[in-house]
Amino acid sequence: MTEKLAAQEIVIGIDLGTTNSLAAIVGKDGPRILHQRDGEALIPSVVSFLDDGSHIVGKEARARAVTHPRHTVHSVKRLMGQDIHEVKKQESDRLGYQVVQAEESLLARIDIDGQLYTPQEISAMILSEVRRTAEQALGEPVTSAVITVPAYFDDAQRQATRDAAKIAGLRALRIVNEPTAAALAYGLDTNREGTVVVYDLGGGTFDVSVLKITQGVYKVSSTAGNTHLGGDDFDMLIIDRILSAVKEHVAADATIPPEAMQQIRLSAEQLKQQLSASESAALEIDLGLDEPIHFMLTRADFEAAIRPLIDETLACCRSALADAGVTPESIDEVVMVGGSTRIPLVRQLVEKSFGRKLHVELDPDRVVALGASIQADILSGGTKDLLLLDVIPLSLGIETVGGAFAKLVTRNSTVPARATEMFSTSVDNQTSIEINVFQGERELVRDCRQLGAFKLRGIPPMPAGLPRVEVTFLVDADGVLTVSSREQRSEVEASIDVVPSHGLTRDEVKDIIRNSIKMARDDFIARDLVELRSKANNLATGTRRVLAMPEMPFTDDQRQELETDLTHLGTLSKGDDIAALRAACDAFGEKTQALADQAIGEAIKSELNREQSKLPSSPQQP
Amino acid sequence: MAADHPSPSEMNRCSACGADPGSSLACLACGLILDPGRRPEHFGSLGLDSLAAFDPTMAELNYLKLSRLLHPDFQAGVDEPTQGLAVRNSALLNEAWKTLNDDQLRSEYLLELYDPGVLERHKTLSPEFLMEAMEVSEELDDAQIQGCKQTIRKIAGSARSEIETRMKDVASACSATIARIAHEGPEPGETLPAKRLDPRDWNTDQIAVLLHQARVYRRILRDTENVR
Repeated sequence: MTEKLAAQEIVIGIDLGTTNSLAAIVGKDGPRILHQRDGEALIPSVVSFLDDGSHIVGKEARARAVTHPRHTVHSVKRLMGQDIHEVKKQESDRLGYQVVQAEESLLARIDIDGQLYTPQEISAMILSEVRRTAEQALGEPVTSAVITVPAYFDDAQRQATRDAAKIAGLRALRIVNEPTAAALAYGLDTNREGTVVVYDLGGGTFDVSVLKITQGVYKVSSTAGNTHLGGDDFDMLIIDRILSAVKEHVAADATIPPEAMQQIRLSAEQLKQQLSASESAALEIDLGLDEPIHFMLTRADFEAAIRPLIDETLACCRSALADAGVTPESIDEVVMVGGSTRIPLVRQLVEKSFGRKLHVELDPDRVVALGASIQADILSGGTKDLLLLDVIPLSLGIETVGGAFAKLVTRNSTVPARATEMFSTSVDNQTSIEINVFQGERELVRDCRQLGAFKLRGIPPMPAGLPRVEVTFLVDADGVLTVSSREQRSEVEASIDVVPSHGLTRDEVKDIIRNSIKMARDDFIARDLVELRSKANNLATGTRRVLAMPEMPFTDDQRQELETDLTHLGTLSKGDDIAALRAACDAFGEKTQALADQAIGEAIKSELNREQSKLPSSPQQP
Repeated sequence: MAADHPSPSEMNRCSACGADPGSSLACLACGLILDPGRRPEHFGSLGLDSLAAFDPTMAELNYLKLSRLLHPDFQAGVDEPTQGLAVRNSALLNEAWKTLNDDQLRSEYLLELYDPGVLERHKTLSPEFLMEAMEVSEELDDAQIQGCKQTIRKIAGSARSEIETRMKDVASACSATIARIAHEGPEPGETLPAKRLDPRDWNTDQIAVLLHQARVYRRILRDTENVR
C-alpha cells in the first residue's frame, strides 16, 4: 500500500540500472536530472572495495575494475534475487569478482576476500551514492524515492530491490517498471495519446510493454521480456571472439589473469560502442607477451553475432502484442529506450518488425529516471493529471494436487488485482491448511518460482471436506501479494503466516541495516579520505607544473619550501589521518593560490610578449 | 473524507451528495468511495446496466473515471480504512473491466449471471467438435515445427472466423428480439439501443455450447501466436 507522506516531502525518481544509475526530480519546470558535482548525470553502477574494507561507488570504482577486478563489483543487478544456479557459469567467470552460494540458502552472494555481501547490500551502496548526489544537487535531505526495475523482474527481484532501498535508508514509495516510466516521460514530452510500444534494451535486461494512453491514463496492456538479455550479453559475445584470438597466441592451458579479463571486458564494451558509428573497430591487447595481440571486429561480424539475441527480443514483442490483442498496424508509436537501442542493427530490425519509423528522440539513458520522477510527483500529490495503471508481468497462483500450478491472477492483470479461491480440509478435524504460492507461466510448480508458503490456521474442527475456506489474494499497486481468508460456515477469519522463500527475511534486513549504520560512519570517512587524496594529488600536480615553468621567478628558498611541502603532502596522502591531511591540504592550497595567481599573470605576460614580438613595429589602432 | 458505508438498500443514493452513485464502487457524481459488499456484480461496478446493449465507449469512459477516483496513487493523506477500501475497489474495478471488455468473458459472465451453472453443465463438448478441433491443433503443431508461416496464418484466419461465427450466434441467441429487429426492422415505436435484453428469451444451453466452442478456437488462435 502507498505509504503516507509528510506534506512537501521531497520524492526523487531513481533509475537503478545494470550499467549506470541516476536520479531525477520534478521541479516547477517539469522533470529534470539531478547531476553530480562534476556535472555528470550517470553514476556507474559499480562498487569497489578498498584494502581497509571501505568502498567507493561510481566512476572511481569503475576505474578500479581493471586493477582490482576481485574487489570491484559491476552488473550486480543481474544477481538480484537470483539463486546461485541461475547465475550462468560463463557469466560469473567474466564478472571478475567472486559469486558464491549463501551458507543458509541457494541465494547468490558476492565474496570480497572472504567477506560475503548480498546483491541487495551492493545495490544499497549504489543507491546511497545516488541519494548523496541528489542531496548535494538539491541541498536538502532525501528519504523517499520511486525506484525503477525491469518490467519482467519477478517478485523476488522486486523484493530484493525494495530491501536494497531500505538498507540505503530510502523509503521506496513505489517500484515502477522501467518501460512504463519511459512511457510517462514520452507522453509528457510529446503530449501524444494512443497505443504505444516501449522497446527497452538496457545493459542487462530487455523489456517490451504495450500501453494505451487515454486522457492522461497510462494503461499497460501487456509486457514481456528477459531479465538476462542486454548490452552485457553483446559484450560477452565480443569477449568470446577476443578470447579465441588470444588463445592463438598463448599456450592452450594458459589462464587469463582477472586483471586482463576485466581489461578485455571494458575493451569489448568500447569496441561495441565504436561499431555503432563505424564499420570496423580494432584494439590491441597487451598481456605482457613479446608484442600486443591485434584484434579487429567488423560491424558485419558483430551484427551476425548479436542477431539471435535481437531476434529473441522481437519474439518477445510479438508475444506482447498478442497478449495486448493489438496488431502492428494499430500501434501509434514505437518508443526506443535503453543504451543498447543505439546499435544500428537493433533499430533496423525493430523498425522492420513493426513496419514503421521509430521514436528515437528520447535520451535512452535518462528517460527512465525522468519517468520515475513523474511517478514520484504523482505519489507526493504533485499532479493528478496523470495516472499509471500497470500490470503484473508473471502469473501468481498456488500449488494443487500432483504439483500442478493453478494460476489465480494471470500475467498482464492490471494492479491492484484480486482473486478468490475455495479450499477445504482432507482429514477430519484438520484446523490448518498449508498453501504454497508460486509465480510463473509453466504448468508445474517445479518449473515456477516459489514466492512463499501460507498457512491458514484457526479452521474450526469439522469432518474432512466440510470447511469452506475462501482465500482472497490481493495484489496491490506495487505488485505485492497479501492473502486473507475466512471460513464460510463458521465465519471465522483464518489467520495467515507468510514465509517468503526468496530474498531476505525481515530480520535479515534489520541486521543489515543495523550493521550499515555502524558502517555508515566508516563509509563516510573512507569517502572523505578518497576525496582529500584526490585533492592533494591535484594540488601537487598543479604545483609541479608551475615549478617547471621557466618564466616563474622563484627564489631557491621558495622552491625548497614548496618541495618540502609537497613531500609532506605525499606522505600524509599515503596514510589515513584525515584531520592532518585536510589541514595540510588547506594550508598548502592557500599558499599555492597566490602562486597560481602569479603563474597565470606570468603566463599572460609571456603570451603578450610573444604576441607583441609578432606585431608590426607601428601598432595598429583598433 | 471519512468513508460512510451505505447499506445495500441505500445504494441507489450516495450518502454524501444524494445523487445516484452510478457505480457500486464509487459515486460517479461526487467521488465518494463506497463499500460494494463482498462480491459486487461487474456491470454494477463499472456503472453499467447488464441488460442494456453493451456500449464499449461508455464502459471505457467509466473505467477511466473510476480508476482516477479509486487508484491508491491518489489516496495519499486519506485514512487507512479508506486506503484499504480504495485498493480493494481498484482491484474489483480492474477485475470487472477485464471481464466486461472481452466479448467472450463478458458473454460467459452474463450467461452465468442469469443461469448459474449452465457453463459447467455443458462443459463436455460433442466428439465431432473435439475431433475437428484436434485436427486443427495437430495441423498447427506440424506447421510450427516446420516453420510454415503461411499455414499458421491460414489456421489463425480460420480460427478467427470460427470464433466470429459463434459470437454472432451467441448475440442472436441472447436476444431473439434484437436478432429479429436486425432482420425485419423494429416494430413501430421500438428502437434498438433502448431495448433491454430479456434473459427469458435466451436459449442458455445453446449459448453455453457456443461459448465453450469459441473458447477452444480462442486457445488455438493464441497458440498460432506462440513462438517456437
